[in-house]
Amino acid sequence: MIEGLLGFAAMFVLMALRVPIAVAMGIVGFVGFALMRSWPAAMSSAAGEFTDIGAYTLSVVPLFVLMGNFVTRAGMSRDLYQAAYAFIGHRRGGLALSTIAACAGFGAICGSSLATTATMARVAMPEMQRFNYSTAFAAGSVCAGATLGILIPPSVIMVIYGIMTEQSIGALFAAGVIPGLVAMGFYMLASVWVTSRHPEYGPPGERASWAERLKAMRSIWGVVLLFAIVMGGMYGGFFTPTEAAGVGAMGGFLFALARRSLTLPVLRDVLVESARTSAMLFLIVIGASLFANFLNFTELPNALKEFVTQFQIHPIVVIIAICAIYVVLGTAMESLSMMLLTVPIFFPLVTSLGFDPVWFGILVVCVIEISLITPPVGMNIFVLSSVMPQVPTTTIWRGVVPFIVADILRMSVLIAFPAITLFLPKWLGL
Amino acid sequence: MKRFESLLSYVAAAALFAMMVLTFADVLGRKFLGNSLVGAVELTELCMLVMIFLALPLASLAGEHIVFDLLDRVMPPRLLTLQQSLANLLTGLVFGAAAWLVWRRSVRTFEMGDITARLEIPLGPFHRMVAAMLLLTALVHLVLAAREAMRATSGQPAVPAAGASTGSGS
Repeated sequence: MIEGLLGFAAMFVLMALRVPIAVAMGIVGFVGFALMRSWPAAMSSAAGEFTDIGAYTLSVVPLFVLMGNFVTRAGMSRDLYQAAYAFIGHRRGGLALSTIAACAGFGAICGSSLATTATMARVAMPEMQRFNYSTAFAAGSVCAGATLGILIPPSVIMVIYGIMTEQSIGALFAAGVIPGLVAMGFYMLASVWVTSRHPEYGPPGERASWAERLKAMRSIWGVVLLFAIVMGGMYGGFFTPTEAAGVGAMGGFLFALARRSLTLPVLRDVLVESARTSAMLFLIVIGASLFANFLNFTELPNALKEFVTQFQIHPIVVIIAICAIYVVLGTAMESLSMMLLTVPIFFPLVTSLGFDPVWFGILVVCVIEISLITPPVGMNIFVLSSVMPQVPTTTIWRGVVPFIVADILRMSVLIAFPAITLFLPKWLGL
Repeated sequence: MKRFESLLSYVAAAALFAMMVLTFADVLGRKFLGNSLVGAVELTELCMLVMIFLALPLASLAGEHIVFDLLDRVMPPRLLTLQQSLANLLTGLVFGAAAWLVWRRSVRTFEMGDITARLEIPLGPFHRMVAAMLLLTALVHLVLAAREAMRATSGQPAVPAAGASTGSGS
């Protein structure tokens, strides 16, 4: 157990030295494993981590990343925003509500919150500024709404959780749907609450006629079709999640092509960008799995289990404590590495307490969403301020506060009623 | 150098595109023509190895690996450059060690004559490619380390570009 704690300490020292997190996890995992077992064993397993990263089931990651990048280039976020705007834009705070709805829609074809932030910021921020929205409120609605990208399937984070914990990716995706809609509802309530206290933060937009609404609805057929093919194909038993990702990427490619948003240089950029992102992600996966191998030998997960049973801590208290730890860690750590670092410890504990691993996966995704918008290290905030350099970071920080409150309320609901999460996968027989 | 970089990125891009087309064609073939593409799975796997490891030095060069940079704001610029240099030196050494480990593995792969199941493509050259690309990634980090070390000693301010934390799967 002491070895495990030393391992964590060494990792945090390396991280503080500015060594890439993937490399820090890898060094500690490798050296720790070698000291506890033997150097030849550590060397052999480390070499295997690199050569086996090409396993077929892992190809789901780059393909979903690619799909997200294609639909981002295809400009589908603008259509979604206009459709949402046609229906709810004329209400108080309507543009913020439209932003949140459009983010949810975009999340259904894109598995990355960062891509959702970048594309929605470009579409929604200028509109909200045109209607004199409070900059903080506008930025908050984009940052928070975009976190839905990883909760509503497809989701790259869920895929990585599924691979790490050997859970069905199909079940995780299905489990994310209803919590995603619940989350959208809470975000909308948060913006209604803000505009009811400060009507000047979110003046209403223009009312659209029914003819305009129908026209806007028709323009999002591409999004609906792509979602239907990918998810329908997966749950209809036509293809596996990996194949769904390949078909989705192809669909995104064809849409981008049909909309004439792909030239050869753009295509090359999309592909190279997705390849680099995948290389970066897989390096973290390799580092994390070296680290996890080491942790399994340290008995740290078992020690934690014994601690919980010894003091007879109520399982729900354990879950709440884990979520609280995640929220605190998430303010300072990048989300993916936070998940990969902690899941090897928390997952055995949570499942030994009898909780559903899929349900816990959705909770992990939810706390990651919170970590994306909590300062000082909130990736969505960074992305928004890189797309909109004129918006000060501190303004965004102010704007996300009501949405963080909404997130915490949503987490409480999901913890209190596991059926919200588990109903759909059960119904689909997964 | 620039040319080599764009060569790597073209091949990585082509490998990713091939993965997409292979998976799609495999599904189409199975659903509509009754039989899947022979060896689509193993070709996808090999494409993925090529894509990941050719893109790895590019990601390092672009400073895309996620680092914990919360302390950057409180560090004196000169110390920060020195820290970046040390971190890159250590990262370079780690990638160098990884390259050596995978190289040893590739020697064994050649000796065993490992091949893929359907198309019987030899795996040795692919493992050797992984080792070579890890070595290249190591060199990228060592060059960055040397550059930053020179900057730290000459007293020029830190450039945040290398190692800035952007992009992630979340």
